[in-house]
Amino acid sequence: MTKFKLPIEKPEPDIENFVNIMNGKIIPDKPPMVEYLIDNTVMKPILQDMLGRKWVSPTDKTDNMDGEIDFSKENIEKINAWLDNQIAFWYHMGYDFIRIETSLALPAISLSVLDTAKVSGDRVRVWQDESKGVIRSWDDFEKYPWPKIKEEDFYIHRYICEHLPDGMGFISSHGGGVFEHLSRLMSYEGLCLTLIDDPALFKAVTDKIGELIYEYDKYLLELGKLTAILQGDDFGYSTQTLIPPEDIRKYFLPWHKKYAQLCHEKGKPYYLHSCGKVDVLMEDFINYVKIDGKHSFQDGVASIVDAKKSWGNQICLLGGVDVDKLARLETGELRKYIRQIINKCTPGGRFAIGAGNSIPSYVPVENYLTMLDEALK
Amino acid sequence: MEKYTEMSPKTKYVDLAESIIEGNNTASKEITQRLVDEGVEAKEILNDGLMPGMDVVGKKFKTNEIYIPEVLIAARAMHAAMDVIDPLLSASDEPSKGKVVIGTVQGDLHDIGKNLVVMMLEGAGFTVIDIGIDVPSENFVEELKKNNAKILGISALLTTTMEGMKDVVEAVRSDSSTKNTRIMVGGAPLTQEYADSIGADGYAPDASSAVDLANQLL
Repeated sequence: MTKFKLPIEKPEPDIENFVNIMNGKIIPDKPPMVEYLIDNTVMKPILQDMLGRKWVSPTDKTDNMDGEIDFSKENIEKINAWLDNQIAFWYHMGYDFIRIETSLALPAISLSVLDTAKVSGDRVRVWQDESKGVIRSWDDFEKYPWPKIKEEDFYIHRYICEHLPDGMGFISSHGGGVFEHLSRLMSYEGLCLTLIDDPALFKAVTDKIGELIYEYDKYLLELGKLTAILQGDDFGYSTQTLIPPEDIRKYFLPWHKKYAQLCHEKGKPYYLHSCGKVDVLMEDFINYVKIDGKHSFQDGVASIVDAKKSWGNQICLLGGVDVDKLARLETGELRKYIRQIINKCTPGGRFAIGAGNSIPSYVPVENYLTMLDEALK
Repeated sequence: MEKYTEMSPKTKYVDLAESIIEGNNTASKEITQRLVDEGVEAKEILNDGLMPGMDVVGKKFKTNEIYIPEVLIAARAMHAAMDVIDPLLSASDEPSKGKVVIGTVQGDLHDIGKNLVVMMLEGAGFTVIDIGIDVPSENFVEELKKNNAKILGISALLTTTMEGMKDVVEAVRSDSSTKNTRIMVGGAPLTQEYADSIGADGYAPDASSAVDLANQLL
């Protein structure tokens, strides 16, 4: 791993510069780097072997969509050590910020199976149940243990703000957006059928989640060192949106508009991560929600190079390295591919390089480092 | 109420096809029952009423005129009608268009894409044996043999689980009784290039295209 210019021994993060590049005030020679989520499988060997740190994890999971982190006294030292590692990772890998998200406790049905990614060992991959939700009726909705926002929900965020190295920013969001949590609680098939059979129930569950995230964001935005909200809410898959675009506009975008407004009132950007074929919604994202940036691009759906041509002068574009290519290309091909993205997207600014979606367990560590190394050139 | 059997061939199945397209499961069941009661052959109801309805659904889905929720309620209406005629079809022993075994590869619990393909294939007259999710390679081979199916459909959601498709293709090709199976693959990370590289006979980017592909592979 020593062939890379990583880890950076004395990083010089500059979050102000990052934000200025994203809003077009500064046009850089090379783009800054961005990442949405990085799987523990990739982080662990880098922290241990390259940064010489001891791996600590308060949970086996990378994402915390169910909000189940143990904040007991016995576990708090572990959480602190985990957060120190997180900060060290993002800092020494050359990012201008650290991104961590947590979720309120929104229990749902999940399935698990042995992860077939070769690097994962005997780790289990957790899947969302697509046909059985915990909310299938008004009675389920009434009885669901809706969480109340508490101070300890922001322990992680406060710790990060108190321990950020000079120049580093903090980007966060509620773990999982309104649509994503709706599909966890109702299941995807369940929400599809409810949308048609009982739109009032569909709206009630959506609005309940939307309101919770709104209240959560208010807390988040009280953190002085928060740079931006980068909220995930996947609305699409490879060939179309997951429900009709008019229903996304009707039920979900008003909530994102509210979140963006909250950010803007505090002078912070609101970036949206939304996977799949969502080009039909891009004008709504930009002109109605008023997002400041868009994350998540897949070459098979819409590449970041095409997105740059269409929307690059209106918002910033984040990421763009196709995850399938990142996982499977040989080093030389991967470098060439990343270089052409950088060359085509850097002019004009408003672009940060990173994975098109996230760094899942099946991206080889070597390939992840190759991407960063090429970006740092 | 006018009898369906007294209507012209052109209008006889309009209501039934419409009930499928609109996803009205109450209407699809009632109309199918009326047709059966009036003495219409189950096979004719399937071929001339239900399948043309699902065909329209498939075409509209392919061109993004409708979305997955509408496809799901159309499939529900189709199932409601099929519940009426299934016993009659089984009794008549009429051959289906062909048998398709379908499943999601080992390590992958993604269901919805495969389920949409199953609905579309059934709506197009295929007999589909859905062997579920997280299916080991050897089970695909076993089910092909057991059902004497000529087509195999394999689904995967992730880049990592997609690699398992290669194992399934190899297992099917290396068994003398299944080596000539026509294999079609699909799923979010898939491409035609990948399908070719693992020796699959075809790749379908969406559920509706899977029906076209299955028809070609017959």
